[in-house]
Amino acid sequence: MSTDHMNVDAGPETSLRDVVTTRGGNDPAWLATARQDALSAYEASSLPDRVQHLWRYTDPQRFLPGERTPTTPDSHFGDLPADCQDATYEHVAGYALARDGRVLRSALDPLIADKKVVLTDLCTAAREHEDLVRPRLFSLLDAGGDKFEQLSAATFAGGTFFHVPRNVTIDRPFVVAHRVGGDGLIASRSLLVAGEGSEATIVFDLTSVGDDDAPLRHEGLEIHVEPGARLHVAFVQACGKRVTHAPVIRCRVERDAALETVSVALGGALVKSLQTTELVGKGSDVRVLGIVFANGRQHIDHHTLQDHVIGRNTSNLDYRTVVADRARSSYTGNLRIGLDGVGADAHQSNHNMLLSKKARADTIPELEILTNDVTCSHAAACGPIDEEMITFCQSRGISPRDARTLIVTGFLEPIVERVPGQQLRERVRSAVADRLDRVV
Amino acid sequence: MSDTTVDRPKGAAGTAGLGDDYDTKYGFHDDESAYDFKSKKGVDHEVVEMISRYKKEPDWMREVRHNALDVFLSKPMPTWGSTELLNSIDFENIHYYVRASERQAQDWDDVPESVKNTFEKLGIPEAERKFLAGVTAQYESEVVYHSLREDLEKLGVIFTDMDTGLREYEDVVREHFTSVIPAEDNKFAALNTAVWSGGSFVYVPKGVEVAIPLQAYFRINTENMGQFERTLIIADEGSKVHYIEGCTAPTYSSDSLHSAVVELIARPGSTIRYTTIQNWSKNVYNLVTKRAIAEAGSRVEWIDGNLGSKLTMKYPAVYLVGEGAHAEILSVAFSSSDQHQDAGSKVIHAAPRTTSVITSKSISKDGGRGTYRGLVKVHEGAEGSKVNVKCDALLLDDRSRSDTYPTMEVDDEAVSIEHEATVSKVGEEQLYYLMSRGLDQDAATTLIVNGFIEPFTKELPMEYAVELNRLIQLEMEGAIG
Amino acid sequence: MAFERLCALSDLPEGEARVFTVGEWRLAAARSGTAVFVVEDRCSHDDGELGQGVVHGLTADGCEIECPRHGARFDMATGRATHMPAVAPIETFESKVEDDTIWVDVPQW
Ligand code: FES
Repeated sequence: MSTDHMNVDAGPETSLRDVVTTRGGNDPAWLATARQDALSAYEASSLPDRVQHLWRYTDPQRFLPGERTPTTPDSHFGDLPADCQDATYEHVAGYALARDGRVLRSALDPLIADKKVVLTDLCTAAREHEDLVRPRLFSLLDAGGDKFEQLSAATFAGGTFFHVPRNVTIDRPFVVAHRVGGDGLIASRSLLVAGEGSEATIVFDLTSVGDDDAPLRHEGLEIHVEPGARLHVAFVQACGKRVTHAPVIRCRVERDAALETVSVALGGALVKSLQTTELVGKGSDVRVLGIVFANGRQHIDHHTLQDHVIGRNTSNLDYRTVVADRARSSYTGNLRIGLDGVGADAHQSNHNMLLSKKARADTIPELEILTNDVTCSHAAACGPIDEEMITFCQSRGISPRDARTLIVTGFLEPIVERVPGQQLRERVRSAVADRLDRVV
Repeated sequence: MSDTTVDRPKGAAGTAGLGDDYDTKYGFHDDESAYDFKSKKGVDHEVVEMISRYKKEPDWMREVRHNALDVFLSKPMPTWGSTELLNSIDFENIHYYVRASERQAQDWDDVPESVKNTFEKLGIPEAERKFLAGVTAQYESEVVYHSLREDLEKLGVIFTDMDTGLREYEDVVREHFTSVIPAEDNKFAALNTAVWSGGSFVYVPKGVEVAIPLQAYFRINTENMGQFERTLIIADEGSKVHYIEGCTAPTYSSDSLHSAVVELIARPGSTIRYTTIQNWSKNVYNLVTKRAIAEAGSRVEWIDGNLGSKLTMKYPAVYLVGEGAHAEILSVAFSSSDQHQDAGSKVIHAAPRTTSVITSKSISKDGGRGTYRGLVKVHEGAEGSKVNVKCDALLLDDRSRSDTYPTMEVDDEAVSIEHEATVSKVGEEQLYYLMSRGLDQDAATTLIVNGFIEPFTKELPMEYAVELNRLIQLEMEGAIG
Repeated sequence: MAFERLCALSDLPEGEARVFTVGEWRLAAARSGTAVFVVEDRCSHDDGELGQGVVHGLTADGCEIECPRHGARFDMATGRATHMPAVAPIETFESKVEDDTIWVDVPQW
């Protein structure tokens, strides 16, 4: 555990409110107030009810800070990931390095900086780009909603602000490498905005410092895809096996815009993620892709919602899960077509592969359709590796072990190949291969 | 999909004050004088005591009822499903027990015109109409029933109402009553256990195959079609039985709450098919718990059609506890204006090589809401099990709504589960094609709807299938108020 | 597998279920004299918290615990489900009493 650079804002006897006040000290007044409001909302809201289906499989108690105090972000990032060493910006358009929720450093290809693209720490952006941040920050938060979302809104140490101006098109991905350590509460918020007609790709590469670090991460993200914009976002989460991770991702996609998100969940002891996407205009296209590969005693609980508030648009969700050992994955996916959702074309699919007897997979693919002129479907399946395929591989001279590896890899590959950036994609592939080595 | 419980005092049945003077105080021991009796409104230990005493039940049953009432009172309302409608149920404003003779006293003139019209259009015979409307407690086909009963008796089949069952086969009832659905299961099962009356008791001996369907419709006596009926069916090893409950014609009830419990026990190698066609009048809350235990090599089939009621919440379940057992759940829900059909199924795979097939069809029209809610659970050790779930919803206009909430929990690797759901409207092309053949739009839509539910209708006995198609036609023409 | 301390004997009154956390396990325990029964605090029906339920028929040979949510029962000695709506067994753990301490054998992960 890297404790040398780490301490806490305050002793355990100090209240969360003091931390919120301290952290809001450098913020513009409107943001400091928003933090306080969020804290009040957090304190006023009760813990999610276990009977409510979104928390059926995961105990919300485990996401309360309890004894944990907010971690003061470490100021050293450590070794740079390969894609952030690209000084010539050949493969990346820019990058940001974050520790424990705060962006320490960011850099952009000068040509891209000239186009007024912003990639920086959220608190810095709140001061320097109030016109961009203020109207949008917390606007997608579910007002009555998620208790933990209010916690990150109140206590965040920092986070990423990413803005691509109108009609700017960028051909290489931006990379945000975020590392966490310690065993405190790490809260961050991020805001991504793809301006009208713009086009960009951004990747979040989440890791923890050492295998023993066991922080509780509450992370909130808001993603705005404005009319005609195209945004591609990837989250690759490969934290250590003691991390508790609770991301809440809120997306809003306007008319003729396209959003593709790819999330890769490999790490963490306990993960509870929530991703909602509102389609508020015609002609938009949303793709929500994800893989979960869990082993040991990992517990990964994912929830997604695609809400077609307005119709004449499309959404497709594809989540693939592999569980081994005693790991457990729970996936709840809701597809909602509102009263004005006429002409929505929406599909979701969740496939689960179980590699051991003690592994467990839950899948709850839901549909809520309030109007009739729609095309909607969902499909879900659970099963082991198909024995026939193994037999087939054997007949081609492939050992059963290699065959299993091949089959699992092949199952995940259609999602993995949607991870942007050659280097990151390769890292995901080798992480999958490593884990397969251990469980097959 | 279950509700939580608040602590309830254990043991204390709360019967204090209901002492030895009970009989003289209330006089229920005297059949004649109590002939016109109905319980006061609302439910408490006194009402429960009254029902049990009135029926001259054994003490154990009286205790079961009192304990169940405690459970009912302590369990909160479900926080899922149609909570708004559920919370509008006024438990204090219901007669929990009405002697059948009292029920009959209802006047034909009080039956709503819409219900009468539907009888007319369906061509239901006069005498039958009165029975369905709750005006008479006896149905003319009593004769048919008598000869049927003689045949069954020769085979050793028991087919009687639950109250008689309890009197004549007390040991069997005692052993199995609440063994499939304990009162603690949910709030409405608890209520039923506390105040149940009527329902069927069926026992089919080893190896006996009952060739004709047993129809509650024919088993007419004073206790039939209660609000809180309780049915127990036991199919012994290798036997086979088909039980039919309800009918296509609207069942009018002035009581707004119907909460039945149905327990099925399928012994090794047996087959039980349970067919329901529910068409309660649109003032009724239909909150029903149905569950089967399927032992090795047995087969349980729920064929479940929901047409009526204001709100139905019903999820027939099968617990596959023996190797190779099979569950088949086939359901249709038709929701029209001001109706919410919240129906579905539950299958628990708890033994190796068990299989299940779930097919759900839902049609919503004129702002109706159809919800499929299902659970498939595969326990560790149920290796080689296979599950196939298919839910299709048809939305006939832009005001109607369809929800699908399936839950699948898989705890063993060597199983195969497939689930698919679609929601669509009536296909333009199909409609256009039929209309080009000279059908008007209503007729064409009816044809498409009938085609959509065909997998269901083809499992029904002929007369039911014909009537169901006719009813759907009426619904489509908007001929039913 | 290794024995870990569950609690002091006096922390577990006779005849009532109590809940303990040992490592990553949440356990429900009941005892009769020095016979201690320990099961996972999770009902196989729908994850109900068994430790909040009532213990029936407690003797040194065993007992049943009733889930407070829907009334399922389990044999605490074997883990077997004895009453609907549960049909699958729950996990049981070996225990021993030494001096005044109860030890339980939980798998390490
Ligand atoms: S959760 Fe224990 S009986 Fe349902």
